[in-house]
Amino acid sequence: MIGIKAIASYIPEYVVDNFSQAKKFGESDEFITKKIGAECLPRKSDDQDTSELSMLAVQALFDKCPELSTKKIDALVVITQNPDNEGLPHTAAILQNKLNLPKTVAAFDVSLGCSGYIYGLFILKGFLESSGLQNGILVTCDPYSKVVDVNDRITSLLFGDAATASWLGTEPLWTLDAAEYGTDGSGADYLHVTQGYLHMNGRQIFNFAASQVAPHIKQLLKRENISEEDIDLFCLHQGSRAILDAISKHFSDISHRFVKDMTRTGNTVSSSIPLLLEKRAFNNENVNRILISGFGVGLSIASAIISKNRKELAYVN
Amino acid sequence: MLTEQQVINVINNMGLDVNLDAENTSTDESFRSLGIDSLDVFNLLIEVETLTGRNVPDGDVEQLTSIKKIVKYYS
Repeated sequence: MIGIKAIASYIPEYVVDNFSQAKKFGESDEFITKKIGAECLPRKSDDQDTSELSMLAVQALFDKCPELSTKKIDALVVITQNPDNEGLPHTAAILQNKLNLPKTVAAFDVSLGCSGYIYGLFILKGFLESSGLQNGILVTCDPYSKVVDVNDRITSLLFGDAATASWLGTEPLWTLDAAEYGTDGSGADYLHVTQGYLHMNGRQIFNFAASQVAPHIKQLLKRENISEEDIDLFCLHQGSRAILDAISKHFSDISHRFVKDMTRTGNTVSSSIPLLLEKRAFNNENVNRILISGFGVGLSIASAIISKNRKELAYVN
Repeated sequence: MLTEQQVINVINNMGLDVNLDAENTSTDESFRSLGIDSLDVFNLLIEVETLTGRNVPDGDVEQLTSIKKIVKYYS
């Protein structure tokens, strides 16, 4: 059985002060803290591309897990819609070379945004299990600083750069129990890149998240015959504080279990969920079952339930 | 038909730091000066659309800057 064994991350040290940015647009500090949710936004340097950030996250994973040698890696998947250069060749191939992984490795990109981590988990799990393989690394890295227009009020206040690397393998610490997916391409125009710049219909993206995510989560729980109270933590894509508040209000009795933690990162696209898992969930003894949900560009959504594998309580530090 | 009181009720149930009552609130007053920002208006319109069964196209949102204007829009 393939599941998550460890997660590591890389967040650039340089950050943009979001309060200063907000003033430029005539927005208040309160708007930043209560609606956007990010006080600062990490930004990669100009000479770093997606494969560089990804490499740093994977190196952090190797540092965290000395028992994971490059020789053991069977597959490398990169979730990104902002690949190196112009996307050809795929960033995973560039990363394979940077990491000096074996030439036997299967390396490919998956073009998904905020829902990408969950799709990536189950894609890689399925790939490894059906191919009789043991170990894979799932990377998320979607540096929107490459496409954000600094004069665009909403997108320039929202997105931060980051990369994560998750080790998927046998005898996991966390099992991938169930997932529910969804796509609505009629909303494709609501978040797109044209002529090199990101364009977002903030209202429609907000509406999608505020009206579709809670029912999607409830549908998954109902299908799996699990009650909301049986979920210890809800680690949702950190789209914005306003979106998280709009979703969690549909779970009023347990809204305190919705993690809201994007103050120092902003919306890091597909990295937001693994960042939460790494920081707030995986080393928490009181957390045994987590619901994760990612939603956004596409429009695309995925929700999943993961749980602590009681047979593997060894703590990987 | 949507009433001003219905819109006030929606706003009061949104969990904002505002508490409006029909007697003391000028329904002409802009949302911004009432402390209701653009994202709050998105939330408000979701509730109003559900209440009325009628969606507001994106292009019409900008003009809906007060309670009175929303009620007039739906009349």
